[in-house]
Amino acid sequence: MSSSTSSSEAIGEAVAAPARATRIALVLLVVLCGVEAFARLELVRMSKEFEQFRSYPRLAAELAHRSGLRIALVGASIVHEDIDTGLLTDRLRAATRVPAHAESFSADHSFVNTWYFMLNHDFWQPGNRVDLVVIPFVGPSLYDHNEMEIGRLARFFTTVSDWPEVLRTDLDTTAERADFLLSNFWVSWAARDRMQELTFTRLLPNYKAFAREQQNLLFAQVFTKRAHRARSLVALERLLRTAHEHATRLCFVVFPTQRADWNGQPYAEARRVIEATGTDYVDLRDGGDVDTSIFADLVHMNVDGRAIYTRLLADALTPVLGPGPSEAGAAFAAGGAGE
Amino acid sequence: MNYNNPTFWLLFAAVYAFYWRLRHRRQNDLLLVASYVFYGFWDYRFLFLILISTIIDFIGGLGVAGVELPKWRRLRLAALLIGSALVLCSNVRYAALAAGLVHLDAHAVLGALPERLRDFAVPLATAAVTLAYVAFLPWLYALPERARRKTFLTISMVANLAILGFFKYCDFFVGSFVNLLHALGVQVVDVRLLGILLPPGISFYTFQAMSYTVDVYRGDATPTDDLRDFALFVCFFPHLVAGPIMRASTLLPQVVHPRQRRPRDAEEGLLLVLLGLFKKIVIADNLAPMVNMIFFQYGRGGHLPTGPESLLGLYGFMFQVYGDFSGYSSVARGIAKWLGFDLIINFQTPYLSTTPSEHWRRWHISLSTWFRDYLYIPLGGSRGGMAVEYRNVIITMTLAGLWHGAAWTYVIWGAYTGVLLCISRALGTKEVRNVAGQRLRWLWRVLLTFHLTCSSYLFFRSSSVPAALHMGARILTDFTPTATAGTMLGLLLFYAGPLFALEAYTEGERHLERLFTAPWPRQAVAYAYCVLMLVIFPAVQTHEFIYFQF
Repeated sequence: MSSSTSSSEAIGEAVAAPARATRIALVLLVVLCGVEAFARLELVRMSKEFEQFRSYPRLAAELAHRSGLRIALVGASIVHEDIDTGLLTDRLRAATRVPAHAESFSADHSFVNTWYFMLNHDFWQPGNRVDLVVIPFVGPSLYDHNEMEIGRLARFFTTVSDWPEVLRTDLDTTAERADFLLSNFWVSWAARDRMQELTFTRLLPNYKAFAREQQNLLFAQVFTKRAHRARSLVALERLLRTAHEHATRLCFVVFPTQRADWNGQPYAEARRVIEATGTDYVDLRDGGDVDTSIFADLVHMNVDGRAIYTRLLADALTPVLGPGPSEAGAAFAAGGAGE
Repeated sequence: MNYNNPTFWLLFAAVYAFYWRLRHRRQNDLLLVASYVFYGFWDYRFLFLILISTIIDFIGGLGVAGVELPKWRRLRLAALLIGSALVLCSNVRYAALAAGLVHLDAHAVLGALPERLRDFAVPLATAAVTLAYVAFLPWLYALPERARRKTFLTISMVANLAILGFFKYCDFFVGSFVNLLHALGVQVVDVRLLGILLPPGISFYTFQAMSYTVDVYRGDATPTDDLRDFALFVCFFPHLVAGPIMRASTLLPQVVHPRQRRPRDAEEGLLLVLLGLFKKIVIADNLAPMVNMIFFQYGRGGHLPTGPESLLGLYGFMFQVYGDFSGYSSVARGIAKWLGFDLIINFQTPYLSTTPSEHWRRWHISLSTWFRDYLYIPLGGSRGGMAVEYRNVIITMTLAGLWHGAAWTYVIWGAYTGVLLCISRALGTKEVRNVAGQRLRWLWRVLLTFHLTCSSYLFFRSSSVPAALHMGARILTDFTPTATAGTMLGLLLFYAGPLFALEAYTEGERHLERLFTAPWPRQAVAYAYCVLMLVIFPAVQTHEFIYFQF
């Protein structure tokens, strides 16, 4: 009797198990689809940064169609934190006596790889030519192997035609490549850091200040680890080469920070590669101790610092706004690294 | 290559696609190759170490059991070892060699081959030692039984401990000795540390290989005369670099005998893998930046976190290390289940222990029992009075601390843990069960034991002993509440809270069936929660498993 009972229970369990698994899988699917719908329909609208990225092609086209000096500022957060575009254009207008227009195209915590695709996406398109692209940078941002925000790169700055280039040049590991491919199809995955931010800023009132403090403290360790892995400049060389192919005038500008290790670094290899192409390179660091009162945190400036360094930038750009790309640049575009 | 890396899963998918289609012997061969590929991903030269360990203990186990290898097999083993040394350790630049072969460039091929005598140092040394050992073996076989068994056991122990000692502790001891001489006023001129690269998981596989010979010596395990089976026992990839450390009596029969596909293994394996990845990717990796932030400030000086911030940083580390290590063990168990193996449960809700002794019975169970069986009991255990027992506890725990890392902070962590265990034994503290009538007492004891364990982990995580003491003092003397502390508490509860509750419900991995037999909506909620957290809340940065360094 008992044996027949247990065998019928076993049969019952065997029948029930697939049905249970199907139900659980269905619930999972519904939940994941719900999150995906939220990410696609709501999150992009809720995120100021995403809205901003979506506006870049339009802003680039508007800038390109203006008359006078057209300057695009492309880079990481220092573009909007350290530079006052209004002050910059006023000062350039006063110096050159030509109407000047500047627009910021920034992505926080981005590096040379992302800037290449931003330029590709927004300025190396027919009719979107500007007079100067200024690339302000700090730290080892021009070197390869920085920790990129892959989801953002996948969703906003690349298209399917860029995939071979991204997978070959910009991403180092299988994990990064898988992340990139997934991000192209799956917005919830690509925007997971934004969802985390959204959750925590709602749940924990002090989260933003905490995250910034944490980032400041850990910045040094993370950056140093990645930067010391290799000092290659493949992505920078690609950017310079393509800029010359599109006759885009570039100017790299190093900004000071409170990071002693960054301020002390000469970036000699990067500078050599940039100058070998005839591209302008401006170093706004004085090489010595920086005045800490002009900084809001380790990297970004406060209002005072912003005004000071915008003026310094305008002064440095005035002589740069002269003739177009040099002979050296043309040779580089044709032959590679400019050795 | 880690479980949190897609390359691992690609490799595993490739293995699994063929695994159950093969016969038992071929399954073992496939697993052996996969294990070596898995380990070789870090650095292919490390494979040579694992091979040495394997061959020494293979011969040792048989020697202890009185099984004499015929001459042709001895020569074959010698050839395998010397050949491996030549291939793996003679400085061949394989990438350049492959490129030269592809382009049929003889100059490039020759340029990729070793050229200096120094390049052959390891193969030559290996050849000398191996040939001497092979020549010596008949003499060892001819020894009287008792002497033969002891000699083979000694060779195994010395060889394994020498490998471990050289790769893990050489620089530590040399550096400490030089520092001591400096402190005594003796100026040592230009002593350079070797800067030896630590092979991942070396402490795990040498301990496992060593315990095999000991178990054969004690009669607790039957040796195998099949090298491939034994090699798979040593390097079985699911648990190779961070345990659980498996005993020969448990794992070797599973290697030797055909394995069956059991109905519930797929589901149980999936749940274990999911829970393991959750513990690693969601809990450990997300808590890591918060923990690093706090400990980093004590390491560098300057502005220090407040007491509550420091305490939460320490709590964070407790859950980070638990998520990291138990996560690895869970994934290892899950993968092993898919392959038809059973690995032991390595963690059993250790933070719900009510005495320090109970904590160590529930934390890293395979290592705790290893030290108990191969060190504490041979030292005399609790036989010989209280003084001897306490001495043995402190020796065992101090060496367990040193096993975790070559630094004084680990040594002090181990010794301190030993002292806590002795105090607990001296006070005669008994475990308290979580049953009606004594729940408050149970909770109090859980909190007390957890905080005592926390105090020991201050040394484990801190960059130096003064930093640990400084942090401890700060926790005990500063009670300033801050917004940062509130945020840290919120993050800790968000990441670790729900899983902790789930583990309390299933008693770790002991009663996973409680989840399987729960009504399906409850299961669906648990699965959806885990998957959603893995998709939306994985850490921005992935971190190496902490225990890979041990």
